[in-house]
Amino acid sequence: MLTLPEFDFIAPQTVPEAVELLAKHGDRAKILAGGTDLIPSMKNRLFEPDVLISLGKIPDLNRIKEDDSGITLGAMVPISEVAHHPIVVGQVAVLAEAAQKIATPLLQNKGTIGGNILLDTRCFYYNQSYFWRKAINNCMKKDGDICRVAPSGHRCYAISSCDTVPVLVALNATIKLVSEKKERVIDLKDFYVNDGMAFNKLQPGELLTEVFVPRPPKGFRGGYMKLRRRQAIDYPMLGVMIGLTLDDQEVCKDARIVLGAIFSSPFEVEAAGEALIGKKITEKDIEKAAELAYEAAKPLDLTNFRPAYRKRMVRVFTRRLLQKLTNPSSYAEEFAA
Amino acid sequence: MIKSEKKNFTIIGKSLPKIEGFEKANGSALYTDDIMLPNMLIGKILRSPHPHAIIRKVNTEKAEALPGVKAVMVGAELPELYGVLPASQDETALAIEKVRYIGDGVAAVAAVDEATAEKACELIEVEYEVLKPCLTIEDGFRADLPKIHEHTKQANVMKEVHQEFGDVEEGFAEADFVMENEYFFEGNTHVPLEPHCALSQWADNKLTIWSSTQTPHYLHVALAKVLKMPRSHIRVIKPHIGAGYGGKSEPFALEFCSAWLSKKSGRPVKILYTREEVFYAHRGRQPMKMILKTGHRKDGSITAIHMRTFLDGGSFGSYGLVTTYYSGVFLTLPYKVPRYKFDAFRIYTNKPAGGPKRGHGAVQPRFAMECQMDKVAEKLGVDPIELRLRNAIEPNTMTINSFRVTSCGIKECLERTRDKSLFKEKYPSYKKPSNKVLRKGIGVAASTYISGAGKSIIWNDMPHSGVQIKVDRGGGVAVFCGASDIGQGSDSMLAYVTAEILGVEVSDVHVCQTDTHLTPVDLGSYSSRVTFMAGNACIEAAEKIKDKLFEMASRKLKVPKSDLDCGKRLIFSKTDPMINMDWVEAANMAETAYGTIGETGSYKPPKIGGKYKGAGAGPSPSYSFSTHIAEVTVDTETGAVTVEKIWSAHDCGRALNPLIVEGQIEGSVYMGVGEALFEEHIFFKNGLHKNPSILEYKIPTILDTPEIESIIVETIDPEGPFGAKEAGEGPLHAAIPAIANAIYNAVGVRLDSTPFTPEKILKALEEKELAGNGNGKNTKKLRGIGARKLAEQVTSS
Repeated sequence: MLTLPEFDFIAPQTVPEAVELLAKHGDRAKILAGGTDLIPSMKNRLFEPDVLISLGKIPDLNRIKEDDSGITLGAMVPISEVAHHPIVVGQVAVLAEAAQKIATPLLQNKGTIGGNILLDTRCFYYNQSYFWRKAINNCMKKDGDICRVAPSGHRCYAISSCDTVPVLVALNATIKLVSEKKERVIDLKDFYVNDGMAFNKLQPGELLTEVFVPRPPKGFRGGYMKLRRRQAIDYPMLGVMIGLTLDDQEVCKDARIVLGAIFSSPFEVEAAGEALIGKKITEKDIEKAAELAYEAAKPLDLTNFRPAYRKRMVRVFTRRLLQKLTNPSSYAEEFAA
Repeated sequence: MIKSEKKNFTIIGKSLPKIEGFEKANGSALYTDDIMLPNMLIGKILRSPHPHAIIRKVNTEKAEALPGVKAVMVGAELPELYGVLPASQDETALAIEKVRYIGDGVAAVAAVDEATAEKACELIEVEYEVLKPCLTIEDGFRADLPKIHEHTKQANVMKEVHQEFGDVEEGFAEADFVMENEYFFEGNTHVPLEPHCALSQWADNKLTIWSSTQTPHYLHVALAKVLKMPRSHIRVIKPHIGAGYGGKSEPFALEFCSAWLSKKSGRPVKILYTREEVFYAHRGRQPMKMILKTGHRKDGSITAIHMRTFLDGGSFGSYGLVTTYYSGVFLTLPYKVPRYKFDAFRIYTNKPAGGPKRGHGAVQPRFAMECQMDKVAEKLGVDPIELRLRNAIEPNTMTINSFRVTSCGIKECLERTRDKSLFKEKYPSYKKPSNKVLRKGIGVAASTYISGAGKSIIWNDMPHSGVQIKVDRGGGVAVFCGASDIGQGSDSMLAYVTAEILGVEVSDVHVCQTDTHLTPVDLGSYSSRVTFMAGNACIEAAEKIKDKLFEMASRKLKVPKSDLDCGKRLIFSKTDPMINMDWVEAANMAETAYGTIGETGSYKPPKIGGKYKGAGAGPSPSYSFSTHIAEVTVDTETGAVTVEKIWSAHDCGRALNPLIVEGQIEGSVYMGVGEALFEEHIFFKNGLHKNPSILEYKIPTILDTPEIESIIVETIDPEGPFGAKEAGEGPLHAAIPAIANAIYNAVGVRLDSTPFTPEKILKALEEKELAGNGNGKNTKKLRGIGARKLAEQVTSS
């Protein structure tokens, strides 16, 4: 069996206690917020923290709140709650849809929304055992010097693999980060960095406590499609989130197209969205947007499907989602089981 | 051989739960890793990061000095070669002079806990001199690459087979048309839920080992050889097993290492493989390149077949000699084949060793043959089921390569799947061109498999299976048999057979799990042999006991023995069931008259098979037959294939327990779907396994599994126990070509290489578009299987 490295386990009961511990232990600590990714990664010796600070005993982080402005999800709300809670399903069904596509029902019970937002980037050459990584002389993300995906490149290309994040970005979500000294709220879209190693702007000592999802405007409709080999378990090999806001005349007021699992951060194809705004969306507009999304996607060979295929699917998925959102009845006719 | 005359069954043919079902469901069943012994140590194996390298030096000093480490071993301590086949002994417990694949064991340690054992492995210093690896079938013929094993004659060619029955050239000349195609079957592996585990206890110069093995007897033999001790001082116990599928059917490094470390430390040692190590242990489906040439008359009949196969065998022999034969010998079934030629090469490569996986060696050529039959039907414009029916063999025939076929339900399998699936209506209608993005297709394939091999791996004239039955004074019946239940239900089968013959309840029968101190030899769970062979042995033992009990009942009831029957713990007169007596009373009377009641039974296959070179490979006392029809939806934009439903008919002779047979069919179909659509046991160019985890090695989830309709076809085999034959492996083969043929029916492209990934489908669709009208003529070379090139290379060298 793969063993876990030794660590101390601490389970604070309040957020101030947790951030105090985080400040005290610094780099030596990791936050445990479900552990569905962290624990296997620790078994693979990707992380060997001396201390695990579990957030499981902090009731404040486990709440879903709703008001006129939107919903607030505590960082420890399980993915299964995001997937099925009536408030989420009622207000932002597309977020529930993405959550339902994560892993398996059992893992959804353990994994949390905060964990998904802070999920480590993934790569063929990185998410492997210690023995395996040594056999390829490691990669720059862990213990090595060069990137095995792009050996002449200067950064790590591991991909952002969180299903909820493209959705949250398209919904203009914000996150609250709390440290011992301060608290800040940041737009999720500004939080990520396209670098497989330094893939977000979380600062030392900061704890993600909640995510706020604004109530979508009237006329909003959203959809998320996920590419994977199997109908469960797999991480995304591509995620496409599309949020459209149409007015009473079906004119597009806003269009957000965000790709997941292509780059090290979620990637909004702004040009594709702009190609739709102000229009009554036609087949031609859909093709145009799909083409722009396709052009923007530059996947590398680091996950299950080959890059050319993943790129090709950006166009197919974008087109299908737009058809589904703009013309649900003809979409249903074409794709009904 | 004593056979049972029984016809009115009370237990046989009923869908009953497995006898260990309850304890497995509630978690109390003990698997090897559940067993803890006082002072037990944990063992770990240090593995090579190089695919091919000479071991210059191994320094274990630092590891030995680490507190908590109780024993360290290196390869040189156990230099004796082993291998499951006597003719290919090419493995040692740990590598001695060189390593042969990434993951090959170099040293092992036993320590107070797993973390210490891991730390100790890290402290072992190994100096390697890296050699060029041989990583592909093509590499295997290159004389400029270092040999992986010294004993190969030509480069890294491990085995060649050449057989010809009749003159195939004459057959091709006689044919109205000849078809030749290349096929490729990707390697895949078993993924049993339970990783390999062994626990050894060396005490008083004797060894007891608990191991998750499908073949306790062969392990017993190999342990004695490698450890150089009498077999009588070794006890192999097989606890519950979390499946094998062929992946645990030979000795593995952990068994020898745990034993040796236990001897050295004086404490019990357990080794449990990580999932990654299970991928390195492998012994799974070997990648195979194939060239299949078939000749046909206008009526669809076959005039000749020539099959050429190239197997990527990995680093060791394993069952490879057999796999090489099995990659061709079964193509003389289930169709009438008047002339047959077969050439095969198995290559050693610096990768984990391939071996037997469910349907051993025969699944790959079956894929080729059934895709070819579909192409022949297409060319002739005949319904593919009709074509198969025309060619199907009859019961009680002899194949061109001297396989004796007795019971045979191939036609019934074809007809029943055809009717259930509405194939006749769907096939032409799905074939019509369509502009829809999602297209439906339906495809058929048929197959055959053995019910055990006619010859034992270790050639001798002793029985292949032995059973001992003992009756106690309270009416309990204990059955002892070395058959290794790996979850397929063989212990349950023994209980049903015993209870049926003796007239007790299944719950009165206690089947002793394999324990070489207690249970008579059965050769193990491979080749789908257990029901057939252990079942017959069990009938013999039980009949002998029944005879003694009936003797007593006859005396007491004053009824002739021939008028007696038993059931529900009673022995009664057939003519007047009111004349009866208690079963336990009869048992007690028998014990009074004869002493302790215990009997044995054994089974040995009849002398079957031809007299040519390699005639030992393929003959079986009976063959099973299967047909699959797959209905799929192909997404022409994403290339994704959804298998909507599979109808699977299987001729198992008689279903001793229909529930278990259905379970085997469903499991086989599930596994076939995985091999068809997802699974790839593949490697980077440096020989490193690409996906050694069950996150990245894609076995299907339940959501990827089609609806399965199992159809049991019963042909009541003349030699099987109550007419039964195999059901564990046969229902897998045809699933894969049935899916390939359904894809063709849906979108008009041939997938001649597995798995049928979305990428491949899209590429094939593009090629079809390029080729214009979809006859696919120009598309072959783009897909590049390379088998013909290989054949040219071999002929010229």
